Amino acid sequence: MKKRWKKFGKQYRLQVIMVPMSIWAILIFYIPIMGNIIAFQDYSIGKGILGSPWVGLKHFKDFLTNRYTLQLVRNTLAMSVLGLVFGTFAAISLALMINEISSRMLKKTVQTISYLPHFISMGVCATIFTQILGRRGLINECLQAVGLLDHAYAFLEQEHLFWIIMTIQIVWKEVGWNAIIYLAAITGISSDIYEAAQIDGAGRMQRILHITLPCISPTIIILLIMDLGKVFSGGFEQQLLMFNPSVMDYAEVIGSYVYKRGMGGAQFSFATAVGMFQSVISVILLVLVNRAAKKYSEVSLW
Amino acid sequence: MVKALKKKRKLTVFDIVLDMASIVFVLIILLPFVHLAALSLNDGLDALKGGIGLLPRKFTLENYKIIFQEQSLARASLVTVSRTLVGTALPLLCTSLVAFCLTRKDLVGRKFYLVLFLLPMYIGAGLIPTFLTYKALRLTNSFAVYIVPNLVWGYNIIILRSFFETLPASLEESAVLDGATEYQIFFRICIPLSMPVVVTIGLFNAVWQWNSWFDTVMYIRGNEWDTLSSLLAHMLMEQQTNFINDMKMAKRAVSLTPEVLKAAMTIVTALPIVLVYPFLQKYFVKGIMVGAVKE
Repeated sequence: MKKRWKKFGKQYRLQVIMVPMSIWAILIFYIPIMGNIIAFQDYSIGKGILGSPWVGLKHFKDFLTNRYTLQLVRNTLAMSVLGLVFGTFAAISLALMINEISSRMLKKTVQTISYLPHFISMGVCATIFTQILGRRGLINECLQAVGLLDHAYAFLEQEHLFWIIMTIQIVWKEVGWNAIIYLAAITGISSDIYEAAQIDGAGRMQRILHITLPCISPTIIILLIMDLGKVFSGGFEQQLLMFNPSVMDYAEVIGSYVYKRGMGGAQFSFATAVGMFQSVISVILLVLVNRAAKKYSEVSLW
Repeated sequence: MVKALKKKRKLTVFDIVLDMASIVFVLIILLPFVHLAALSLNDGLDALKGGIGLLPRKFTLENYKIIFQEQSLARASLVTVSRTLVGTALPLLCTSLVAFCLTRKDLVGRKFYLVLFLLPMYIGAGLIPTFLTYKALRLTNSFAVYIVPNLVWGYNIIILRSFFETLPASLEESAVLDGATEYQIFFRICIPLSMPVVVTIGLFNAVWQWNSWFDTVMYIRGNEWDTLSSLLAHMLMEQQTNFINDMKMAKRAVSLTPEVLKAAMTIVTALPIVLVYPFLQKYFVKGIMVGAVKE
């Protein structure tokens, strides 16, 4: 022990960085984690954690017996899964397309431009969508000009369209970014296989279907499994920004609900309980999914 | 020559369909931006008539002039730039220092530190407890909330640490023989040799800082520390545009409409990113691979 302290003293130059940074990490990351205990209280800022009354599982019970809860879970899962399925499909298609482009310049251009929306703020992205899909937006004007619509249609205020619009938005934003990993997998395929197939007379479509896709399928499956672990914790920036009262029943997800009840309604304890419920399920999901991924990649040995 | 001929002959229907599909894809990504740019360069009242596609009909720079004249918007731009600069430089320094210390095998408490800094990547505290803690730490309603919580991030530690570890040990040994301290090794050897990685992480941080809006909405009351992104978010979420009305009352802008102003703000928010991100490309493909291997 003494030796350790001596060593500690000798590396004071390093410890003078690590000790304050550790205190920082505890304050910023770990104190909030402990702060989750207010989920079992009726917390109010005036009384503080020590003075607020303990109520046990009241808030969890309230949340789980609420009729609204099922709707929240449904919305969260629906939008996550739609985004995951169509996002994966679009990213694979884009990767295949970019890989097949023969002109180097076009290839590079398509790739560079495909990343652009990923780097743009969700605020910008949401403004673009509300502008284009609005009553006087580009889509309405085009459809009216060709006579498909005779009066303005409020796309953003339709309950049955909201999930679809959210999916299109997230796919538009992330497809280029998500394609990178598939492109890398495609680049890793040995060219011998293609040459052999070409000699056997396989056309390009055949090569894509029978060589490229099977070769990247381990990557696809692993990524799908990993992403499945995130379906319950799905982001809520999109839903918060694109929200409007007429789509309320389909737009509210757990994350945005926590924000609104906690920050808007100042129901700190209830919102914390809901947040905790979400993170506990997410962690369980993540552990299960990780186990599945491990098992799968061991079996396939790629 | 032979190659070129071969290539030309191989241009099939498949290629043409493919090229056309990829051009359609590029247009789907780009046209929304072009449309917004056209709107932002159009006279506000004229834009109300509709029918603006990809080019402005009644060209004006007025909307942009107003953005930079209007105090709340000019302030938001300033806050955005400051948070991006400070929020990139300080975290870069802290993260690389921590990563450097963690490469030292003989560091007392190394295992403890590693867990302490990497665990937050996997478990989050939740919105409300985080808010209450920041409030108790007096971070809310101040510029510090943009910087302090983001000083060190586990993922960047992993990337930097694994890069530092690839640096030749002999360099450091000879520096130690010459009597260099750890700080001198860090600033004179590690950082200069790791410039590509440091720059990449810095650029990613900068883009992230520029785009962030939820922390403003969450931790800041009032509009003192609004950024460009958070102003856009406020406009979307509250579906009311207070400052546009304020400006109208001041009669500074007769032909100003929320539509064109929002478009102009969108472009101002997006443009720096559009200009910077192609430079990131060279590195992030590699970066994503490092992440993928680690997973």
